[in-house]
Amino acid sequence: MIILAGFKNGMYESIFTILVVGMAIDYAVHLAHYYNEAQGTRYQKAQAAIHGVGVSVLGGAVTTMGAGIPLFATVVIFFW
Amino acid sequence: MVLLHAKACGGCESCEAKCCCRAPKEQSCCEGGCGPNTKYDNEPPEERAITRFLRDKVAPFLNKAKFVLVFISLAIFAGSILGYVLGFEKASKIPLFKASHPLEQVLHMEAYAFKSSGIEHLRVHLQYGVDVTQPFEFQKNSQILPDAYGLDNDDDRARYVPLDFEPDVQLAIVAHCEAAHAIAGTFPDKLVDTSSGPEGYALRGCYCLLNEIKQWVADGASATAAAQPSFPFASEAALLDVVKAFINEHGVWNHSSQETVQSHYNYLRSEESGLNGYTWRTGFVLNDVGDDIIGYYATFNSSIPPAAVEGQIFGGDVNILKPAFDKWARFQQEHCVGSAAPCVFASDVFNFMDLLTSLADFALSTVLICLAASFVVLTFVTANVLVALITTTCVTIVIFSTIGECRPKSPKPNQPNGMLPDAHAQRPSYASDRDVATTCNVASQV
Repeated sequence: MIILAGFKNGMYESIFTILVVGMAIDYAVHLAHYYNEAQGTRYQKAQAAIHGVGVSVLGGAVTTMGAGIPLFATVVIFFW
Repeated sequence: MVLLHAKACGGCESCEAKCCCRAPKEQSCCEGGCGPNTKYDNEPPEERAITRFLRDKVAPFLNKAKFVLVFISLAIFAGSILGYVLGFEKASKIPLFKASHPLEQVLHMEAYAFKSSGIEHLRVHLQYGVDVTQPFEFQKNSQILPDAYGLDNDDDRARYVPLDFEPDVQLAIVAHCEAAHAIAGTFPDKLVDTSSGPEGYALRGCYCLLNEIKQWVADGASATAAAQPSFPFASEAALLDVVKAFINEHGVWNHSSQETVQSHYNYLRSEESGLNGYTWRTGFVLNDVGDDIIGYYATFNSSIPPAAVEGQIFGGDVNILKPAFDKWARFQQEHCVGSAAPCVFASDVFNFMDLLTSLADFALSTVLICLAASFVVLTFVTANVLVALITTTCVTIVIFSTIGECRPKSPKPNQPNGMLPDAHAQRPSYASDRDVATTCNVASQV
């Protein structure tokens, strides 16, 4: 998406690339952990994970995006 | 808490919140006395519609479409990798504000209407007598405090190591300046703009005090010069004597603590040429007593185009600076490493450029390190290698999908991140352009 938006690999993009790791791993880890703790077949465990923490994960994603929306209206000032 | 307590335990004022019974509203709160209410604890909470939807609709759908989803994910992943490899370009400039921001406009005007007259040559220094592995040390305190003159003082200083300026060292230093001056070609192959600087010095475009002294002695134009021994001088002490004589011919040797020969040389050349261009450019560094040479530095008018830093606050244009940096690094490798006079090159414009390129290069490796670490952690936490592997794969796909995706057909030229547009393409036509050019011409004589 960075390239699609026409950005080049600069300072902000590099920082964001590293940030994405943390943001991406959060949701997968929650689902994986719940899946691992659930009982039953693979499908049942996956279903239980989605049922158990799906809302929380979705909620986390939505609130994270919501927190980022105001940043579209800002200007990044580096070292200022 | 008081309100909640009153609401939950209406009619039962003696109840404490921690043991308040939570009987239904129509019943008396304290029937049977206070105590933990087990009524609701035994009842499962009412299931929300969204969780039912996720369990009964989403999960079966994902299960049915799992192969399609995996295929789509892998396709995006492959496309992202391809896009990253082929389409991700390094940014060449550091953005600060949007181009339309008032401050950016002011900077733009300053760069082309005023500043350009002062950056006619980007300078590169060669420094001797310093630790080549870590030439400078910086204060550990992160506070930048003003010095006695009210100026910001970041207190960085060279890390000097013992170096005796014996004849072989003197010859090497002189040879380095001559080698840098002799490299012909065009930028970035050509290191020094040999057409710059005032005429009459040993090497045009080079500010090398030792070369000047060598020529001064060889010419023997004055009685003082004729009385000096020939170059190279027999010892460091002999060199220092000649330096003093060289300076005394036009100025007064008045070394004291905290001063260097450079300041006198600057005074000398300023008096002679009427220019102030020698400030900070070349000289010997003495110890506090003034009887021992501990360092030496020379400066070159580099051939780096001023466009590399025009309109830039941080670093400059990496695309222009990086080839010059590589060329100077090669020069250092060929001439300084293993030389009798080890030296390092430095320039202000390379500092932030190096930070930018290092950060960009390190970003991807950091991602890979994080992914490896996450796999290890997940393996231990879940005790399930397969789950850890799938999770890490998902994370990897998300990351590269965010970064890579696909290359646009027509990327925005020279204007990523809301940075300044291409400097020359959109240079405004100022009425004072001719005046600026005149100023540049005068200043470029330095």
